[in-house]
Amino acid sequence: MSLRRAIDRGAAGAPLTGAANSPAAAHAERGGLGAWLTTTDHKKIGLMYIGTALVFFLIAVIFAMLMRTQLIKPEMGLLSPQTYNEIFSMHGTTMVFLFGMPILIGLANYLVPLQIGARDMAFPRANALSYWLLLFGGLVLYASFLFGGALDTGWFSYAPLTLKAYSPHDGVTFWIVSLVLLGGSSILGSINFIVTCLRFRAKGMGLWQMPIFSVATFINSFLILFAIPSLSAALALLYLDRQFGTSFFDPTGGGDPIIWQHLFWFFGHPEVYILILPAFGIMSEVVPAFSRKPLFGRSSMVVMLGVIGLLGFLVWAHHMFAAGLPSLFNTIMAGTSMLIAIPTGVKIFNWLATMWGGALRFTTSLLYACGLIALFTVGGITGVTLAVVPWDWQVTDTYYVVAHFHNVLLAGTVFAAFAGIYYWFPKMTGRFLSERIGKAQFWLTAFGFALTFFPLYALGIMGMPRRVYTYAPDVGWNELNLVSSIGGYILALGFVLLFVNIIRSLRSGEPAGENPWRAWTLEWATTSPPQHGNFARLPEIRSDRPLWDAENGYEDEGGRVEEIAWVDVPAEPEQRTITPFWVAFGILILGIGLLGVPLVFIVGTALILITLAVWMNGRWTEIDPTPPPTPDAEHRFSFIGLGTLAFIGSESVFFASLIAAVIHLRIHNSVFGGGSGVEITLPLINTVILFASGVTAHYAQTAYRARRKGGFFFLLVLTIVLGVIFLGGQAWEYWHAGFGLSDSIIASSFYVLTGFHGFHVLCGILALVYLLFRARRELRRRPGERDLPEPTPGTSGLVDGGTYYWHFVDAVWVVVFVVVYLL
Amino acid sequence: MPGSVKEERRVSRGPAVAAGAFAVVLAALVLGGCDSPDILRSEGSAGNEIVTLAKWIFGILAFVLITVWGILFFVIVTGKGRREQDASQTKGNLRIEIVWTAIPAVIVTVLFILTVVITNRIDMPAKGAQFTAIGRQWWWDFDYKDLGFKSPNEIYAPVGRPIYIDVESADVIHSFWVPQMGGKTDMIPGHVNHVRFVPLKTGEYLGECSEFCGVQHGKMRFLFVVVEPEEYTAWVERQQQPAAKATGPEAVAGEKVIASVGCGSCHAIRGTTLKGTFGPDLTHFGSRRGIGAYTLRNTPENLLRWIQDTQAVKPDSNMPNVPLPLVQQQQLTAYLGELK
Repeated sequence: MSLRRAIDRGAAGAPLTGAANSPAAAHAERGGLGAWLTTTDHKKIGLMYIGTALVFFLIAVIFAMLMRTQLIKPEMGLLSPQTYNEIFSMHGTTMVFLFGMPILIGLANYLVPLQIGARDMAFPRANALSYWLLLFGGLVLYASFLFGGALDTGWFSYAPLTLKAYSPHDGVTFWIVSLVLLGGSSILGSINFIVTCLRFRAKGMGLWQMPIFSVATFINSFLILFAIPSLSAALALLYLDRQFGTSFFDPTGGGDPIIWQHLFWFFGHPEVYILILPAFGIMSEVVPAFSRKPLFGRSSMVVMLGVIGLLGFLVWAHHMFAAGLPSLFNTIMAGTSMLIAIPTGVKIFNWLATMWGGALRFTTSLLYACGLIALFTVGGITGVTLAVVPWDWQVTDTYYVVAHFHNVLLAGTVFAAFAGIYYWFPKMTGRFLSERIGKAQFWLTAFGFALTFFPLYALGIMGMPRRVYTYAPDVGWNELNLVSSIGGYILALGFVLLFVNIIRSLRSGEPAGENPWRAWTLEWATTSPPQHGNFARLPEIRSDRPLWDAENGYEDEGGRVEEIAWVDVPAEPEQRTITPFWVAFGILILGIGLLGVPLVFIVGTALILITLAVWMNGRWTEIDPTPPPTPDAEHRFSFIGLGTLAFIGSESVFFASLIAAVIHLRIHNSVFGGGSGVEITLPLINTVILFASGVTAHYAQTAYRARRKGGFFFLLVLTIVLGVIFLGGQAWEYWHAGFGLSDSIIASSFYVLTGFHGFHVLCGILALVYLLFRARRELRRRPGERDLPEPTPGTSGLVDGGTYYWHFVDAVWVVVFVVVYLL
Repeated sequence: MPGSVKEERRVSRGPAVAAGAFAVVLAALVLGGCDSPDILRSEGSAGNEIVTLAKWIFGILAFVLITVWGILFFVIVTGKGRREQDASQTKGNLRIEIVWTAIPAVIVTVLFILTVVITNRIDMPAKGAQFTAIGRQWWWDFDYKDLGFKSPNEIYAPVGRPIYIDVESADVIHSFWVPQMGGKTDMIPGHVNHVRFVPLKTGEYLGECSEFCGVQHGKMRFLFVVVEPEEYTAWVERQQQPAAKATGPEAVAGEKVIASVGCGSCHAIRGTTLKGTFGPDLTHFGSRRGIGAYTLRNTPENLLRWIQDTQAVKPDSNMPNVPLPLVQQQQLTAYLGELK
């Protein structure tokens, strides 16, 4: 049966745009490695994300098969315990950071600008930088195999097992550096998505009307923004413990390993939702499209995404029920964890209601969606049981948990990703994936999944702990492990079919038109694949289904039907640049230096500064970023200012995490009242200086807006000078502190808090110096003018950004000051 | 249309295959389950409460699952052949949505109340611990401080009497777990956690480390032996004695070997010159049922194997291979076997 008929007897792909652009035209531009290295096009970057994610997926699947083979019978000798531990640690880390997140972010990268009718992301170069950081982060992680062994302490890497005393080899350090790069990539990406969704939507599209996958990505970006810094803080402390002899997690030096668990899970649990919210978004696109119906209860779907995101930050300690935390705390976390079942349940019911009464088209995509509903529900339910504290005491850290999270991540995230790949592959390539292979793949993966993981639930209940490299023959686990391993091979076979299908279909897949599924969101209103700039023309947007309106007319509340007009979009050439690649490369070098080679670290720092200077210098002023459809003047915040605010939100969580850790240590060691044992006069003076600089920064911004040249330059320079004096004071204090970084837990806390703050001040100063040069150059272009020129979107936004950042540094100082000098 | 008929068959075959798979899994479960430390075959007070709780929770949640699967099956069957023009274009229904928000809310409330009630029932009043369990890479030190002995990797407990344990760690995080007695309690360096429950039936129960603790996490087990109170008292008295003097000729030779080859740098045997604390106390090694944190059962053959090549049985464990002539290895085995 022909594919088209399966979708809808012959009516697929009626051109809506009428534009004369074909897939061939989009492909006609020069390819080659250079094109990928220099691209800033969100679609190419998205494809690179997806491709990279799939490669890492394959590696992690191979790891999984090695593990399942090792466990196929008791006392199997395929892998040594050390190798097994490295493989399960790398499997988890890879699946979460190098497959799960990149595949979803890659899809979002490709689709969000298309879905909201934008030409590209808000910051195309930063977008490229995000990708290169991801790639380099992955390479660092895998390089550890060549240098003494990979991470062997699990993706959660509980301290103190990760300290030098118990993990002397560098696998953990590689992991830290890798996750810092990956975290930076994710944070940068999420800022980009937030600003893109807030400011780059096509005219007429409200935030509420964004396609639901874009909404999910938007919400998800906030989760990433606020969750990752908690991990970064934990990694920073762990790094100091390992490389500089502090003892934040070492009980023999006054530290407390429980801090790691709090910080890790404050990141780790939202991370689970980071992996599932976009999957829910994909589901909410696929189910309506193949049910030929609008999404049922769209508003509640959006609200529930937000609710899940919020609750995700309030449940972290349900990973720690066995850690001996206060009973009341456990109970609260149990309650909040259970609450998540409500919005999740609503989503399931809304998908079912969308299918109810629909004309179902059983493509591979919809099969995966149905598979998700059937199987993810099992995972959701076992998830609720894990929130039941006493049951969790029994099954936590057993195979029951392994079964549970594969049930939500594999039968959830991965199934949704597959649904999404089958759904959007025609858009990305102009060709269909084979439905025959797709259906075989679906049944193999669904069946393989059940056979692999349902026995693992039973094994957990039968007392089999997780993360064991083998088991004894006389404890009754042999048969179920055998079944699970066989299921694993079937599952892997299904995965292989996806790769076969992709490779086959890229060359000889059936051509797809612009809108092969006859869906209703904007990504289908352009060629497949879309050309640079995405759209030749766009419909007027009235609802969340613009293409439905374009075809059938928009029906308002009074029942009047209105024709939808199409508006031409001017074409624009792609701005290529290699700079993001080199910046990422500089960061990679710096990361390698962090592994313990100071000289390399210095080279990396220099490289970053040079490449950033090139980035900031260039022709950036005029062309990049492309200004949003509505000018900054019409909004409360400039779009660069918005990006800075998002970044500040993220940094706040970083400092909050560090401060929480320090306060925890004070309580743990009962140290109060003496501050850090340093003289308080200088810090007081320093505080006044920093506040003064906040005031001058504010008036510099005001002066810039009022185009008062003299005032702006004077106040900006004054701010910089005050900042430098502050840093000087800080340096003097270090010089005379009389104790070293690792002398005591209080000393370490002092240096960590003031040090990270000082580093932020330094970055702020660099930003302000950059503003100074940039504004001067703008002025030089217009000799003879006494006043500042009309603010350009770029510079004006940067002035906002610089000022916000400086205020943030001030605000953080207040808290740091209280914790370090007064408590 | 022939195509759709074919497809229908394909869809209906899927669930049948899945059901078949389930049957296989269940059969395997029944076949394999009888020797396992199954938490559903609990013989401890805490474990029993949890089994009761689990019955309720899984009962309620099975109802949810069946509902979802039922609706899914219904919409698939009814939606398959429907023509596009017949698809309803409804965008939502506030009343229905409120209903299916409220029902999960009620279910969750019930589950939460059950959780709190059972948690409180498991929670026994605090009392001084009878002994301290210390997790180590990769064995268990059970220190009966008040009674003056250590019983590594093996706990005796009188049936029907509450047991109170303080759990700690000497290095990294471990977790104390006897599946058939009750839940896990993490052993965190710098913290003291508490385990309390009542063992309800005599027998030998497997204990396992259930927090990843390094390379040999997989072979960190212990035995929890529940006995009649009289037998427990006898055990305590025996454990309090110093090591027995060797009697057999091989064992006498073994006693000399163990003192001369450096075992004492890690191991202690009370009443001898061996005073090490890094490894397990061997004073009553012969009375224990396991070797190497219950990696092997304690038989003379297994003990010889362990002494000959520890690193093959438990790679990367902290016990090094001690290269000795076979005769001396056999003498060691004989001596350790006599340490009842």
